[in-house]
Amino acid sequence: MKKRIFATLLLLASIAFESSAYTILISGGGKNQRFYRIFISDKTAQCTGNGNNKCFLLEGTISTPTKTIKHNIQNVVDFVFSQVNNGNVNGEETFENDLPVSWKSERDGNVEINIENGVVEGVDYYDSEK
Amino acid sequence: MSRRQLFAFCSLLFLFFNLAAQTERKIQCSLIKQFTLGKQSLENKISADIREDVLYFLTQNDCNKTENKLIIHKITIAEERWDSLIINYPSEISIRFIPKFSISNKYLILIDDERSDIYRFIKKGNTFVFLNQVNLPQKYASEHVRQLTKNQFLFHSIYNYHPDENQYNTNFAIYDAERDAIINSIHPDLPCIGFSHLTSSWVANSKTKIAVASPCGYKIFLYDFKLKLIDSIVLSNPQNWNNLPGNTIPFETNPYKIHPKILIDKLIKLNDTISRIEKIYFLDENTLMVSSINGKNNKNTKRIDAWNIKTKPYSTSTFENQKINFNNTDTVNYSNLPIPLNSPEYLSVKNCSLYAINEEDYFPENNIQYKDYKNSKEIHYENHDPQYSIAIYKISIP
Repeated sequence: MKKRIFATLLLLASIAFESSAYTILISGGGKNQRFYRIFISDKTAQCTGNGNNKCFLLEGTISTPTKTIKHNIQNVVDFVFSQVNNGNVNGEETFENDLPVSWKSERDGNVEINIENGVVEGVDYYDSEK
Repeated sequence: MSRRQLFAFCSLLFLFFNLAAQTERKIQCSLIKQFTLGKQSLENKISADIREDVLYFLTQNDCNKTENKLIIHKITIAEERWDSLIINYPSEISIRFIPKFSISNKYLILIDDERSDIYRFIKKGNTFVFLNQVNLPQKYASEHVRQLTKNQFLFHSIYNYHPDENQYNTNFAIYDAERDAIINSIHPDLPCIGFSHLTSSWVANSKTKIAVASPCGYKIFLYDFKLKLIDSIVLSNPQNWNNLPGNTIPFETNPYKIHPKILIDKLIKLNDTISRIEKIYFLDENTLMVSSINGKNNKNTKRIDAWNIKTKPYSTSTFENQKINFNNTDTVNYSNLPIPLNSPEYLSVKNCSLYAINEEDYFPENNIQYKDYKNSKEIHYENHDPQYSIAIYKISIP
């Protein structure tokens, strides 16, 4: 199966006019999971396209101005693909007992992964010096 | 008191009141209208273009990859009249993600988000018909497109690319859709390109000019539509401005040598200590609005300069601590709102009107306390899915 990840994490506890909502977007990456552009904005952290950058979301903790992800995103992606490879091409599960994950396979081999709520806990700063 | 002393006293008094009035001056941002655009897509991303009070937009919900079809919604804002443009494209090409696009009276130009492939469509009746993929070397690939004239578009990107992408870090190209050709391109050497991993909007255009802001330092370049440098705006020693020393980021920013995650961490920390231009917009043909972060200032405020560039020497009005977000204790006043420079999914400014697309559709009522609005919103979204919405504001420079 052509392994192209198309994952979207929607954090819906957002508040209009404030920058407390954060959307994390991983789109593209290709089979090597390398991305074209990596950047953060007021409301999103994005790894997009198919290029040569390692996505900073895939190493477990994401540094953004406001939030810390508690789960290793790559583990979530691997979990979904193991489900897909076992024939569950579309589904909905709770990852590690606290993270609702749903996914949908497309004809071209893309898999859309949707993670809503529960992924963010508190407000924290990832400190790369630690 | 002698007459001379009286004169000196009056002058000081005048200066004091003048300064006090200046510090109180704020750009006025008033709400004109707002309405809902429809449900959010799985990939929480929206692409839009605004031309002559007509909004065009699409979300992932409108991209049907299996049928090679896109739907671009067209809303005439004054009447809130909706139309849909159904765009078919051949199966040989692949539009993988939500494309950026720009529309003129005659052409539609799409940029696929994956590796910046560009497609040209021509208007036929109430839709656009695919013509071709624009033949552009990868080195010139661009992230954004904006319409300049009926036939001409600007492709542009400013980004700290990984060296293996073999791509210019700055790219500006004038594309003539009639001739299907790039007629001019430049790759200006901008400092502090690493800041492109953070929020920025360094390019703007009016009906005759293209403005490009330097990622650090206070400098803005003005080009004509042939990409000829016609002028620049420089502030050598702005007041209350913590310039980055030497206009150089004091650590490695080459993505080949530093992991983007570490780089972004370091940039965020540096960002909190310096001043730099973050976003620029033409309010009208003669007024350029420059929004800057200003070191350790309140995150809910920005420094905004409004430049009058009609005649030289250019003059500016500076507004320190201009609000861009509400505080909890604020009362919502539709005729005096924070300028929403941060939160929108999409933001465009035309003729002193600011168009902001948001990822929510629960609007605060006029005169409500902001904290009450927040509370009622939380209750609202327990039973409703958030939808996209657009708000249109009038910007007035005092």
